[in-house]
Amino acid sequence: MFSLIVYTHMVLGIMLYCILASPFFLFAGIFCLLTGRPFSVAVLKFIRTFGRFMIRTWYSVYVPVRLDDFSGGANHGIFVVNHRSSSDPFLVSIIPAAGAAMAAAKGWALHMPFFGVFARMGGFIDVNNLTYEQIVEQTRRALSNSGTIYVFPEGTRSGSRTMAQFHSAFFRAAKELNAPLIPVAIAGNENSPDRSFRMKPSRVIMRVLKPIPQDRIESEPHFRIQREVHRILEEETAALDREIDAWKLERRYPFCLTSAKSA
Amino acid sequence: MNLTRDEIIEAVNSALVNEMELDPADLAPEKTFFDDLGLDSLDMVDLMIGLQRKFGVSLRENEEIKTVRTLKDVYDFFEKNQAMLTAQAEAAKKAAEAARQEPPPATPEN
Repeated sequence: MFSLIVYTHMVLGIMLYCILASPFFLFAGIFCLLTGRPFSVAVLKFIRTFGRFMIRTWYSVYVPVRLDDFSGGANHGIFVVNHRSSSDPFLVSIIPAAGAAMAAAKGWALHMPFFGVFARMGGFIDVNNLTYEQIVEQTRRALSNSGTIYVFPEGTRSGSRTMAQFHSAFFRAAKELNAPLIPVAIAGNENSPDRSFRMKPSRVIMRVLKPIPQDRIESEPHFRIQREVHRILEEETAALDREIDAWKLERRYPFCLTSAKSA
Repeated sequence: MNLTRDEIIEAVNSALVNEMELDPADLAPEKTFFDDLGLDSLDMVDLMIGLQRKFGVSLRENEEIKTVRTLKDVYDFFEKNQAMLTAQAEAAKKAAEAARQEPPPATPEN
């Protein structure tokens, strides 16, 4: 029942956004056509605005979201995000990085009904169907066009609190392009929705962490950086999970905790 | 290349430790390359280059090596294919020698 309410609200939200945004989308298309600017950058801005709209007007109604930015205002580079749920690509849109962001997606995400069309128009990187050299080239282009790119190196949703191993392509690309790497931890959404797309109430905390020092990316082998980022995100998500569990316990048993505090 | 299984295991493990900085304590035969050791397909290419250097063989045209999933698969591959890989390496060496000994093509006079 809860999932039904949430997804009905989601569909209405998508329809409302499409109605409100389509005149601007059309205008942007004509503007890009006349001025020769890349339309994909405009599409990415709409994708980002769509994500923010859906998080603020839909998702956070059922699943409160808190964003901590410990990056010192990092707004350029490869944002490396852990991947528990299909809500992750929406959640990253609220990170206040400058410019539009291009996410790397497995092939199926680019062929989803409705969303896939815009993902392809925005030039999302199809990691399944490109060679490594093509991935590097598209990453370079993304960083020079939009300044940021979000990647989920686990490659698939974990649907749990366990983090899978990372694929190495974007760590290699960061080293080749000397691009900043910014870890982003997302916790609390492993069941919002789960791997079967059932929604459960929860609380999400996102934390943008300090970029990996650039001299380390230059001097160390990619796999060392990759393992370091994996360790950082594992530790950070575990800490956030503890905070979320404490919050859930407090909500469920507020009288118990009140008496414990006064004891 | 005429190694015992233990020597093959030692050589493969040392390639993993030296090239990929893996912890020797993590290298058990049943471990899978990606899920347990965190080595994806790009890392496997680097590993194969390292193993080629270590064993003095070429794995470029070999389709079987591309199917390995666990450490045990790699140990079994080198143990089973020692003779074939050694013959290939010797043939490649002979071809390189022959190419070196061929007289250079005559340059046209001006």
